Amino acid sequence: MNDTRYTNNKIIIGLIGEKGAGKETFTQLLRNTLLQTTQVINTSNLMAETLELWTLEKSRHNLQQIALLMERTFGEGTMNRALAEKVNNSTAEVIIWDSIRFPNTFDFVNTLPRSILVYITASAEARYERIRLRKQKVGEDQMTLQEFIDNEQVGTEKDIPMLGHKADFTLDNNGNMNQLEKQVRAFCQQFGLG
Amino acid sequence: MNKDKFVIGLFGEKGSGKETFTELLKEILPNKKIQGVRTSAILMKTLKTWGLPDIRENYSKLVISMEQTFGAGSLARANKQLIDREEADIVVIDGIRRQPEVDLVKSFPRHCLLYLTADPKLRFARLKSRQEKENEKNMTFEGFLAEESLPTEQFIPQMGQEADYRIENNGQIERFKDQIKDFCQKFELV
Repeated sequence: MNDTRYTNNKIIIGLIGEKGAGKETFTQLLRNTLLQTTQVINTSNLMAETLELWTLEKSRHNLQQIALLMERTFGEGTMNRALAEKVNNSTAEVIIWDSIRFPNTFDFVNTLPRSILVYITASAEARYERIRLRKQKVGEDQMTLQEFIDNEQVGTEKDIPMLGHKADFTLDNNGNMNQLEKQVRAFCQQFGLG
Repeated sequence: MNKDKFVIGLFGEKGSGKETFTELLKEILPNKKIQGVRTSAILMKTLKTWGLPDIRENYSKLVISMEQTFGAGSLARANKQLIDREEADIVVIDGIRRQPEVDLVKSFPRHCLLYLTADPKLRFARLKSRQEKENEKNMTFEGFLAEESLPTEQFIPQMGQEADYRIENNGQIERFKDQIKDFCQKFELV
């Protein structure tokens, strides 16, 4: 199915990656490289805005709960449709869909005519250290490595590696920034971006 | 943040004058900052954020689901925090329909549960003349009475018993204004 309703010839980069894999860094590097106008459509923002409306704490647990309850209440694909609406309203030439966690979102983005699915990954140890350092979400810096790993086996995180293996391009972010930058340039070349 | 704000929890049947009440209150108290709040505004904004249709069915689905996940009274707690942040001297919470909203009003040290009511025939006539909702245009008086006996509407007269103040809005607008002035005096808002 070539669904052009939402995209109007925009390029959609669907980003897949575990916590701390470097999704934001990838986005930053990509934006530095690309000449086209870009916009990040962020699934966490959608959940965070909702939590803010309800004056609830923006913990990772609550963000996950919102995603699950909206899908349960308004039907499978509710989040995809909400984000597609944001894609539709965007005037940017390249949309970065940050990030893809569910098989149905993967399939949804995959059917958009000019979509590229990108997987960024790193070892659990490396990601755990990054998460601890950035303390972005409530309670995240208190976790042990084992808790961090266990937490990824359930709920909204569990399908990420499986989806990543089906992506059009994979970046290994176990190294330093230079190494990642090289991979971003290789990615842009392969897909004729920049 | 005004910690000392006066919170009016307004409830009343359709056509009892809830919207007019807030307009007249502003006229009577021009030096007070009066803020109308709808407890459903959070639901409306959530649906908008998610690109979902703004229909009554989605409002109730959303609130049930949120309260199942985050606990009973989640909507009231969110409203409490939002009202706490308001700069207003007087906050009018319009359209109280459920017990958690009653409890919300009572959680403010300075509050009043105000019951607005009027003769059904008068209220029906007001509804017909304002034609706000599509299904109200062709409604008969019998249909109007039947709608009021729905479980969601029955809460209103029941709550009337618990009100701190009651206004029977059976007269013209000038009479209503005088009744609101009496109310303001009783609660020392003037």
